[in-house]
Amino acid sequence: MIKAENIVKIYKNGKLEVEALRGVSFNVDRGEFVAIMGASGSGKSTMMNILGCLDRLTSGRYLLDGEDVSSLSGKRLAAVRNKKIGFVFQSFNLLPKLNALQNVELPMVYAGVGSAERRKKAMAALERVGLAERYTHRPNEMSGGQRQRVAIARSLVNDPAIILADEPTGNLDSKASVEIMSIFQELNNDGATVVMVTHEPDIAQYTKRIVTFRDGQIINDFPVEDRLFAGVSV
Amino acid sequence: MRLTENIVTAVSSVMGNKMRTFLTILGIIIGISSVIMITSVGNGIQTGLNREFEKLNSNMIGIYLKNWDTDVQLSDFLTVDDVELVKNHGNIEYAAPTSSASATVDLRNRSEFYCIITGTTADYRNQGGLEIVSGRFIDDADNRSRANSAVIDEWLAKNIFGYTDVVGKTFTADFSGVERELKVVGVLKSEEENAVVSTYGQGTIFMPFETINGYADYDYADYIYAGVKDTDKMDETVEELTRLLSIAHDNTDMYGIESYMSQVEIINNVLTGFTLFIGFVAAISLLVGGIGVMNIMLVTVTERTREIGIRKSLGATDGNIRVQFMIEAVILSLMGGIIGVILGYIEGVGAGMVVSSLAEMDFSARLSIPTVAATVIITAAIGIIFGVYPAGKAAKLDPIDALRYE
Repeated sequence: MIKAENIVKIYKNGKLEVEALRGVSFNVDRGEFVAIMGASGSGKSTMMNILGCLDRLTSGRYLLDGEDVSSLSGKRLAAVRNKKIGFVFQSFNLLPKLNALQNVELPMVYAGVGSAERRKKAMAALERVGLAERYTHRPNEMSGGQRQRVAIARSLVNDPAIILADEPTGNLDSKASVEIMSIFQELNNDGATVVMVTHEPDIAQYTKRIVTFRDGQIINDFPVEDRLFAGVSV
Repeated sequence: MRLTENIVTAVSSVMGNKMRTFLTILGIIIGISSVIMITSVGNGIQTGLNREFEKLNSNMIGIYLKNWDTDVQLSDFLTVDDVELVKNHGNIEYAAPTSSASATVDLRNRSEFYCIITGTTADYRNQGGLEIVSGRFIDDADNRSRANSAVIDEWLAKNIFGYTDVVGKTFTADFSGVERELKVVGVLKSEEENAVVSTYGQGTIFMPFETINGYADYDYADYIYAGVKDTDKMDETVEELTRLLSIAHDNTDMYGIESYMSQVEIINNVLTGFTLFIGFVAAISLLVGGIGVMNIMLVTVTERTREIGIRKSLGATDGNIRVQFMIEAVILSLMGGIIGVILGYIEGVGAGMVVSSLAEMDFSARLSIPTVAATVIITAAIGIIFGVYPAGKAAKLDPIDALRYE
């Protein structure tokens, strides 16, 4: 799914040049469940942004699902984000004026999907995360855990190649965190490829592989031992 | 998607904060409603006036000596010969001279009524606007014999005799010290009190042209009224008559010929010009209104930075975002325009009623469809023009920075 080859990212901060990524290479195969860890400033967030096609690399290559996305135009990148990537953010990032159903439908709106099919798929996604009855509720009528579940449902609707989650449990209490990890594990068991950034080692134990960043490079990359299973069924 | 989706999204966004929306488009509402009100009142006045003017024969022209400042001689004055000359023109149907005299008449209530008596000939009747209720108008026999015949209006009849059926009766009129006994040969319907255009007012007396001139030992006509047969040839006819008169009197550029048609045109033009000017001034407030829309759109874009970042992360292109905000700007403007048209029409109807009651005529406001259509187009254009900048800013937001925005 993901082939990162010698990715370098340099930011220009006025006259200063910051090397956020100094030649990162790694692969993620279909069906993997990867946690990216590292201290702040290690480059993990930058890596996420590049993997998510929100930012462009300075040099190197990034192949997503077989396609070299490093040099795509802005419009094509938007299409990649729309169809190939499902984002889940730390602060949920739902649109507050839309209800759960409308939020989940949003990626399909940009994909040009008709309204009947949108509704069907959105409801199915909400079912998968156990929130079908709340489809008319607005984000401010939901708990943090529920909001994140809506966000996960949203990330699924265009059948993406990868799900990218940036600190998905960062704003949740431990109970909700476990619920969320359980959903990710279920999705992964059903074949989804999940890449997650986290700074909590406990959360990383629910994944299958941990890649550790420091100073813009990967210093560790090994499978998880003593994996945790959330087992909470929704 | 995208147009209906965008419109639905824009409408719900606009209606989401009704107070702010209202304040934003207030400028446009005021501008549009002012323009609509003024143009519809102006339109109503023009229609009303034209209706009044139609009462007159629009084919009438008036000939007069216009050049008084150079060495005017008696030979330049208009005479009955000129009346014949005019009448003989192929495109002229009738011609009547007029001259005037002033006299005082004793009314029943012992007061003295000062009136201007118009002396004219039988042809004068052709110009329309004279309604004889009893008797007849001045005829050729009156003129030939210089009879002391008078045609008076109902108002005068009532005030001299006490009733209007007075054909055959006589009354005395004092012509600057000379008393003359006049015999009523006809009574005219009194003109409505407030006609905009009236051929005569209250207390009118017509007498034979030759009689009046005889009193003053005056041989000339102040005015010649003539009727044109084919109004399409009006301009040529006027030119030819001017030339013929100049030849007959051996002078140049001494006579003016005015037609009611041209006067109506002038008034119409003045009204149109005035309406346009005021409309233009009001339209400037539209500019301010558009700036208001732009300002609020800029604020909106800033407020929704996070939302824009989210949308982009989900796959919205720069173009998608730009279109979304442009449509919102256009919808805002159109809302202002539509409300403005409705409000402006209501205001126009109200103002029209005030004007009508003041003038005591029907000047009810008229909405013209082209104006409304132009208004709608202009407001949409304002939305587009003033939406470009904010929509551009929104479109160019970097998704990562936007997502970080608090």
